[in-house]
Amino acid sequence: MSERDLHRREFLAQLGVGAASALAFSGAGVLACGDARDPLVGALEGLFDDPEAARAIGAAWIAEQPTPPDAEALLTAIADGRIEAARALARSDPAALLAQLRARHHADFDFGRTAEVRGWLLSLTEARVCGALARAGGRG
Amino acid sequence: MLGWRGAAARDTILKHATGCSRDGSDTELRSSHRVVGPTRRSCGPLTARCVLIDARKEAPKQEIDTDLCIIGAGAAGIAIAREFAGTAVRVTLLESGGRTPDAATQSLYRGTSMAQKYFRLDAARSRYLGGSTNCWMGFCRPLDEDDFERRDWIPHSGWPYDRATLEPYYRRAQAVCALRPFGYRGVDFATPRRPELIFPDARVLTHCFQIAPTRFGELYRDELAAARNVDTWLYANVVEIEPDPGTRRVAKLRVRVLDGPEFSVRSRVVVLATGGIENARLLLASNRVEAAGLGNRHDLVGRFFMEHPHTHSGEFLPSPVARPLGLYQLHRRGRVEVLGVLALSAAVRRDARLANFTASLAPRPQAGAFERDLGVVIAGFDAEGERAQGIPRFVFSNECEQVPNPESRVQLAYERDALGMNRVTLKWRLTSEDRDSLRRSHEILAREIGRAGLGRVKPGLGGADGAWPADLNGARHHMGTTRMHSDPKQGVVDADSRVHGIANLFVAGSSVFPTSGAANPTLTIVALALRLADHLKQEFV
Repeated sequence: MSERDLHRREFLAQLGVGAASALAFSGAGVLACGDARDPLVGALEGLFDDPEAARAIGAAWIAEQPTPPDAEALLTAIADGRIEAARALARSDPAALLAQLRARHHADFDFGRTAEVRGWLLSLTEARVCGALARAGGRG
Repeated sequence: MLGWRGAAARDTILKHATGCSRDGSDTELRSSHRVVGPTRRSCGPLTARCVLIDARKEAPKQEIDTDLCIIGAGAAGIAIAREFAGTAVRVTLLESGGRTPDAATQSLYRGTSMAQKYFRLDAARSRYLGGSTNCWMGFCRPLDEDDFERRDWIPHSGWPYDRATLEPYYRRAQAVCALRPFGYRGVDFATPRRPELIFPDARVLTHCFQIAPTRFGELYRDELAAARNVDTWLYANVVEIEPDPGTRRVAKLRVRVLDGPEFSVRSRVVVLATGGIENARLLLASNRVEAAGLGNRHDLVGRFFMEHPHTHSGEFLPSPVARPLGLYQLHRRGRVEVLGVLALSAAVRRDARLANFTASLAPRPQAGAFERDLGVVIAGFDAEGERAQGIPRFVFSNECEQVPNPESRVQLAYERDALGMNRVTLKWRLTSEDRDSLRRSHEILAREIGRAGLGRVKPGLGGADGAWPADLNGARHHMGTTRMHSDPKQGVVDADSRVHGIANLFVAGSSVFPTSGAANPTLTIVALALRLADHLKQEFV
């Protein structure tokens, strides 16, 4: 099993993406990525005492990318491709979503999935979350 | 109180057959421990008290004949001399300087530094009673266990013995250095107010320094002066170690006094303990019988000069859960100060093929806007959004193991000093391996700190082909120039610190370190000195 496969399986398991979330996914309305009403973006903002600070870090990271990713791409990456399942979890249990993201963030360091922002070593999840908030907030 | 009386009171000092005067006031103190000395004696009758002798005024009129001559009264020399105080062994301790620093003596240390930028050589050491313990910061920590091992990714690594061999001497060295009981782990000093940072799988460890800048000259001069069998000569510079014609033994030492007379010392055993640069210098300069210098048949003396490359690089923003960081700030614990430092575990270094290093946390001014924002992000991920206030910022103060390098060396210069000895040229040379090891160590440390949720790191050394930071320098730790190895082709001294091929010449001090580890050397210097003293006691049985 590749590292990526392991990562994906872990994350999906953490999301609880089974039959229940599949149902949620099928019934979810599709929101435009970056929409301020996007429950996933709202949940991500809940990570921080000051979301504006996260947007500033995200904007700095995006500026350093050779091909700056857009919000949709970032949110999809954060959800490991299961963005609607993540949105469903954001609606039903945002605290669980954030706990899973934190666990994944720490695992990122374990597996070398890191990103540099002005020389600082961040987890890829951390950089993507900040980047997504920057894009959703019109920055970056 | 016994001890040095100063020039004004010189006439009160007991003199020996060469013309010393007598101070009867101390005889009672001495009467309870009569020395039964060997047949030869430099200081006349056994009832005579020999204290600290100023060679400028009291140079012997005849050759000194002794059992054990120690060249250099620094940490190693004094530690060995103390081991023999009160025994039947006649000890002569020769110190270049006096009780206090003086410019003329200190200038004997002048030399030229080439290659890597380095301190002025006459400012990196102290040349008077107590040696460089007169100017050290007092940082003590033993070498790590794997520092003694042969590591196939570190060329020329491996001591002739393991750390367990040195362990009892480390414990004895604690008292000599006026430290607390042996203990150097984070857990030995962690308290609820000063907790240890805990990392998953113990991949990053906390080591603690015990810090006590003990001035050996001040602390032990009275003890040395009181020892009837120890003569401590001040202002006595050994300028040549003269071997017998076959260079199998030291025949005598030539000693000169600045602007003064010359005399010689014959000794059954000689210990060279003048520091990591001077030990090599004196061996190289003792070249009248063998042109390459004494103990230098395999062109090793002076080579493998090692320092602890030191640089402030790499930044650390701790997460709220990592605070307080009091264990990692200098703080007092009883009679010593303590400082916790971070280090990669031996297993991590082995897997990544890294040299050793430690990082202490040097506080820096309050973070700027970017770091403040990053602090919020860190708190969000690591501390469940705990409000990030007053985010502290640290820079790593790195102390690195230097990979042994034969091209890093001490050589004799053409220029001579006031005693007629060749000065030294120091060519401290680092390799790309040294920098690369620290760079990769920072990367691993950054990942481990992030993984543990303790904060974020900005590694400081850039890419693989970058330069060292501008502040790179040594730590005034001079090691490796008479390295220890069982094979004469790979080391100047053997496992007992005896110069290969010269039966009665031993070397003490960090010049015998085959590898440097990342710990300040003095505790190991003293431990090795005590081990050497134990070995020499057998020589005198």
